Amino acid sequence: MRVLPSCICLSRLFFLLGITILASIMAGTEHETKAWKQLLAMPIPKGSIYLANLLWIFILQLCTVAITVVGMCIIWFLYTSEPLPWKILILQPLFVCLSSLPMMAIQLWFSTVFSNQALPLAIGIFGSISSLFLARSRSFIIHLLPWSYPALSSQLIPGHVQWIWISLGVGLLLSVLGAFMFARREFE
Amino acid sequence: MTDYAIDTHQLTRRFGQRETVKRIDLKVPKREIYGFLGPNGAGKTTTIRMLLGLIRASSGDIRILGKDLNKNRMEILKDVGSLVESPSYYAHLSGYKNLKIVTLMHGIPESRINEVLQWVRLEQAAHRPVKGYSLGMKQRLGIAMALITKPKLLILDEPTNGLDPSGIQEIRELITRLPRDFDITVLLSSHLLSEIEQVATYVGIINHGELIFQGPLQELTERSRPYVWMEIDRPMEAAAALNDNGWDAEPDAATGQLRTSVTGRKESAEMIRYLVGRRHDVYRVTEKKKTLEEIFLELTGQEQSL
Repeated sequence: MRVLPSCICLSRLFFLLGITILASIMAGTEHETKAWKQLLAMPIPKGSIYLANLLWIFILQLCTVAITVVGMCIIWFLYTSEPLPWKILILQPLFVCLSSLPMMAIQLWFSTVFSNQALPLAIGIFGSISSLFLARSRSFIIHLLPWSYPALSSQLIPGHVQWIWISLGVGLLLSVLGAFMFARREFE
Repeated sequence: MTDYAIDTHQLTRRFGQRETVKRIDLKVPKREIYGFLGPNGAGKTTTIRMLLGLIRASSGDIRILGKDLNKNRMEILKDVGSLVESPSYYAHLSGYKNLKIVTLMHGIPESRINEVLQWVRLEQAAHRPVKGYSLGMKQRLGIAMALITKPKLLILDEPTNGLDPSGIQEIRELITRLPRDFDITVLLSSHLLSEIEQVATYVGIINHGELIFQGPLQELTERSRPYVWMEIDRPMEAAAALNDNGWDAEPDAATGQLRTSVTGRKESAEMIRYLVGRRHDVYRVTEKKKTLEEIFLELTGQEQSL
């Protein structure tokens, strides 16, 4: 039972790094093959291309959630014979996924803007690591940063439900904003 | 006029202070092959990007197939196929799968894929990954991707870039067939006149962002009519005398020669007799015909820089 919090912390870190890498790979493929112009010259609303990419990041991250749950169960069986705490095992990674929607939107936006993926990766890695500490801050302003939502939405923290709603709200807002800015952008 | 496939009005694009495209009135008649010519960096690609809505115009209007691009972008793009600069493809996928992506996005039947693969002669290589394709094959795949949607307007930016002579020939044959067989209007950009000369029926020449010539190809070829050049002493005086006699003649101070558009054998003889009679020494008489290449260079003012 004592390993659980550190497992949660670690899996959360890798989850956020996963978002960074996924966004970078998705946008990077288009940058590398110079396919943006091809894609944007199709009769599709420009913003929907951004939203479709975002949706795929979300779907793939839901798969990560499933894998995490299975992995946690295996670890649980290996180290203890206590009954499985299903609720925490499933809801914990799921909440992380929901509350990282703003970060997905931000990462995808950065990855589409810069053809060199080093910068978006750096931002994502920095954000993922700092998310481990942001939630421990007492400052409400720091809590409002999208990177602190995943930690604040943990079931082990009181009042996590409000943070899930906040992240969903901010996430939707950033997605719409991202789609709008993507549509206005001029691609090389 | 709805008879134009592309009709722009005072189309301008600024990058910061610099105007890369200056008040262009591009008129591309339907069912023609329009050669869009200009040296590198003249604004061809910028114009084409604006036509596709990839970048915004700083000012001016674009009408494509009779519709305003700003208002009906989606509708227009359904009827437009394009290949801008280098073709875009996913190298790890086969040519067939690359085409399938396009059919999925446009919602057109998959059976079209084999049809266009045949047009560009890629049936043999269809199921190999694109990264193993030669440059010519990639270019042909790009054209297939542009054609698969049965467009009414095809925009090709330097489609023969990097192709070998036989590849160029193949693409050329394919392009010439399009208006006739499929009712497609083609806008073809190139920096090589020789390229355009053989396929285009209509020509627009752009230089430093300005459209300096637009019209049927014949109009351009007419400018290549022959002139008779005479090397003569006192060319100014001789030209004036010829003009007085009703002949068209122009002195060329730089070379000390005289140029006339009168090329008939009899007339030439008569002119020479007349000039000799006026005690001019005629050293040499030659007929010169300007090549289209020379006209192009003259129009684009690139003679000096070469």
